[in-house]
Amino acid sequence: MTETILMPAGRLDTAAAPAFEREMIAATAAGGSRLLIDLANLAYVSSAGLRVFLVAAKRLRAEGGRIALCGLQPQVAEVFDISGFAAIVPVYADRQAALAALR
Amino acid sequence: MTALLGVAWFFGGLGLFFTGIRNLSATMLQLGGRSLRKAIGLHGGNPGLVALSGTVAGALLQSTNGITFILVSMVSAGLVPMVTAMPMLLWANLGTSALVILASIDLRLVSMALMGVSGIWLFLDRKAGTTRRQVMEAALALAMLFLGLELMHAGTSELGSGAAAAEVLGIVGGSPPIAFVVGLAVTLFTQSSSATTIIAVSPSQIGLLPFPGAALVVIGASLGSGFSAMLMGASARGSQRQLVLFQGLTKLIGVVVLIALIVLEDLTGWPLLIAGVRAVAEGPGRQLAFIYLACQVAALAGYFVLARPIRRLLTAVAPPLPAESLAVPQFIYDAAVGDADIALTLAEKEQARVSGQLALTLEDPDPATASGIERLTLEIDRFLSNIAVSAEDTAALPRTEIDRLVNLRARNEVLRLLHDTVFQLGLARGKMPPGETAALADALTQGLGAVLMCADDAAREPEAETIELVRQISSDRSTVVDAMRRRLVKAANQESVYRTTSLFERAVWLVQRYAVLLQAALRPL
Repeated sequence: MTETILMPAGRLDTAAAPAFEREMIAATAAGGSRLLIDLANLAYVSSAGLRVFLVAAKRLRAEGGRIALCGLQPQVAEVFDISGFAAIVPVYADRQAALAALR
Repeated sequence: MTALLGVAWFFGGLGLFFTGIRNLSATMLQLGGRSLRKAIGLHGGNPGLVALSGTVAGALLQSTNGITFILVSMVSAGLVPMVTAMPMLLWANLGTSALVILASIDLRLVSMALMGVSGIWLFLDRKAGTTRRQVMEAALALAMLFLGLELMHAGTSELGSGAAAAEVLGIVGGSPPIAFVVGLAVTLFTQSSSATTIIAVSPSQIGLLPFPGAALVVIGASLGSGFSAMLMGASARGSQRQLVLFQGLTKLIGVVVLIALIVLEDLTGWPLLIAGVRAVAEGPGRQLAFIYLACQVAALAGYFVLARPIRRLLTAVAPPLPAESLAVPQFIYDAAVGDADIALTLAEKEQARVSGQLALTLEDPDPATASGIERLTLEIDRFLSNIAVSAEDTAALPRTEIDRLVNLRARNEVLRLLHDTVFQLGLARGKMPPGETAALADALTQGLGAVLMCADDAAREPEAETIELVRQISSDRSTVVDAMRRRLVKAANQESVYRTTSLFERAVWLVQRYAVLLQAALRPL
């Protein structure tokens, strides 16, 4: 089974979160999928954006799928640490490490 | 020359009268404001007590604007529901008749004695702020008011000899529409229909202002006081605006009823108002006091007949502010406490309104919203407490529901504390100067906001896995927070950094406690 890779860019805030959530739901629609989200181009994430990651993690966990994040910029990584989401959603330094973990 | 003296006396009397009425209202507000608030809050929805407390408040304060202000603050604080505040305001209007009735009685001896006693007392007693002194200040204000009336009366008698003044008053008294407009206009200036009525008594007593015309001045004054309240409250919003509009609308209803009676009286010759008042009251002073009283009674009667449409109209025209709506329970109601199962489900739904507000308050810490949520959580706690009391009476609460009740009360308290903490954190974030510390505060806000949203999801759909996720993301943050503090140890505003991070840690700990309580509520019993 191949991995689906998403790469949001810019700001993931209240305005952008619903579209990204729809994108993630579509990507995880097939049961048992493996989802990699590369955040190298994401400059800012708000609380509404963070929540989308947790929704996806919960959904995939229920369906036997897996999720991984990589390439977090320092300011985004800090928000992940603060929110405690880093304990739920595995975070890797780069795409290679994340793909290796997903396989 | 005599006419000029009359003008001077009338003018001086008017000044004394206005000073007296303003000081009386202000002193009574200081003296009895707190007790009045307490008395107003103790009505318990009983119509008799509502009428009594409203009438007493009006009689003592002699200011419907002052009472409107008290009622607005009490409605905003959730101490008096709007449905009670409305009739209470009308009863307070009726209470203001006391001064008009007093002014129609010859109180020269009493008022002079009052002025002597209070004036000498205040000269000798120099201890400021005591209740005794405030009582004497109120007595002096009342005496000044009556002395002002006496001067106005004497001045009007002198004016009577001046042809111009007599002619003007004759025109006013002889034309009902002009008399009505004059009453309205004078009240827009005095902002008190009782003051306008009392002023109209003197010329009426010496025949310069014939009674039917003087009655129309009083009716116009009633509408004028409604307009005056609406003008003063033009910028008001929410329940404050509702009360102000209510005052204007009910005054209008009262005036329409009285004018209809006068027209009917003219057409049929039945003694409905003018002739009726003449038949039961002697002298222009008492007759005008009766007309004033009739204005208030007509407004009250109009309200009792049209209460529902009036409330619906006002809610449509001036809907409650979002913060006010937040404070009003949408699910719980007192009659539900008898059925514990339903009552607990309602309380749970009401609590979800609080959890749904947490992330919003963190983002936009509005004091009115915070106050509304505080009142809502207190109301939920009172409701839950009543379920316990009701169950104690009936001994009908099964063990499972006792556990649910205890759990809900604990969750309610956690939500109350959590909302207060995120409100404080939101305020602290707003005070951060731009730079690294502001970036930290923003990261804390976004991170905590996500945690709060997930906690709300878990409260609305309490599935084991969702709750477990909330429990995990609300684990101890001391390592992350300590790292931040170390990084910002050289920041200028250390105190703000510590306050913000401490509030964040507290909020996360409370979310953890909330998740544990949600988990406990899910466990099989």
